[in-house]
Amino acid sequence: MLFLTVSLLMSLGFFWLKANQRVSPPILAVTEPTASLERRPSAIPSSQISPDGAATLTLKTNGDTVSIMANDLLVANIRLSPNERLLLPFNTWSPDDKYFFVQKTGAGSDEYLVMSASGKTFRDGSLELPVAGLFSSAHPDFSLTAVTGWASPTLIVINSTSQSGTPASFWLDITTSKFIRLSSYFN
Amino acid sequence: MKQQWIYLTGLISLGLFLTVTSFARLVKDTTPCANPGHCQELPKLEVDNRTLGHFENQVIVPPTIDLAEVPAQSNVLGENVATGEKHIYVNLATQTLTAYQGDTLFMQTPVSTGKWNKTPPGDYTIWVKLRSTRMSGGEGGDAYDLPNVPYVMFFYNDQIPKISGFSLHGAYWHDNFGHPMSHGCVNMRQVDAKKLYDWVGPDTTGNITYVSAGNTGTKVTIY
Repeated sequence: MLFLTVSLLMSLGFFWLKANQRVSPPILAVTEPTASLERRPSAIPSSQISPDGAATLTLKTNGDTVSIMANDLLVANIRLSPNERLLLPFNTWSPDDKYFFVQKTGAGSDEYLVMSASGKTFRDGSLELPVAGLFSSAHPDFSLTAVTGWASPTLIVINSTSQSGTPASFWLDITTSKFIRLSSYFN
Repeated sequence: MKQQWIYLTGLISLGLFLTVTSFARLVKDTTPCANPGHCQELPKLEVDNRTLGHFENQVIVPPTIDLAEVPAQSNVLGENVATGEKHIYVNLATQTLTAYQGDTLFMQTPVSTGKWNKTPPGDYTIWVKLRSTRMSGGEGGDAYDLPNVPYVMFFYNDQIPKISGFSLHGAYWHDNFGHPMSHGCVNMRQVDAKKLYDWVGPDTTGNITYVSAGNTGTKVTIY
């Protein structure tokens, strides 16, 4: 009886260990790269290939107007005020090459415009989805801090902070213009 | 008396059984696994041009893989080529991959490492390259099943065995590089994965390339 009790306690102990285990990284001598190229690329390009290399998005500036070209198709002309810029983030393209987003910066808060690479309009008939504007209307108690990329062909990743400073992530479903609050933060 | 001995023997056997199976399960579960659907056997070449993929409750169309496609040559005759050992560095803090040959930079690009399972830091060696494979795992809303994962470079070391299935590879289901998105592997844009795949050792000999005596794997440092 005593032996059975001890065995049971040992079994419970192993289960507890399993539930609380942490995988420790191996202790190794990590060799740093010789050149100091640690930071993410900071230059904002005027063109960006799609993740599969099959398409290219290009910005062409003419005065105060920036033309957005998806391959050879003129998708949109965006007029900018003198202190505004249009940027192509690294993750601009959706994974299936059908959509992209550009970042308009310089007029206080940034706006992110989602567009179809074929020039198709969205459900409401508009050519572009203004992510920051839609988000502030849907979630006035959160401040959008960044649009980082695409979680899927139609879901955009949005990072934000609550009024109390708690970080929170959302997806924007571009097919419905609805936001989905996520249980974990996409840092 | 006899009954008491039988009873005691039964209790001892049960106790031993519980102890041994619990300990065995603990040991098994501590072996890391990048894709739980595929850690019972070594990775293999898989192409499925008919099945859709699933990730984060989304249906994803995988790329069509053509195994008849001729792999790129690593060096073109007449071009200046860098010398020295090739080495890949993956910085988990900045989510950046940097590849060198000697002191010459070959490429630097944002990647996505482990979000749901952390990519383990360490020094590794690539042991096999697969033109395509299938990856699956996760549970509930996190479940994923992804055919035709392209340009897969599996790596290992003494702590992370080959069967754990950690790799560098192209990712066609998201475009959020520079941020953790994977279950342990290092995700790259498909164009970046192809470029790296054509460059790393072992030199590509077909749709499956294992390391051999004269064709060794490139080192990978994850930190």
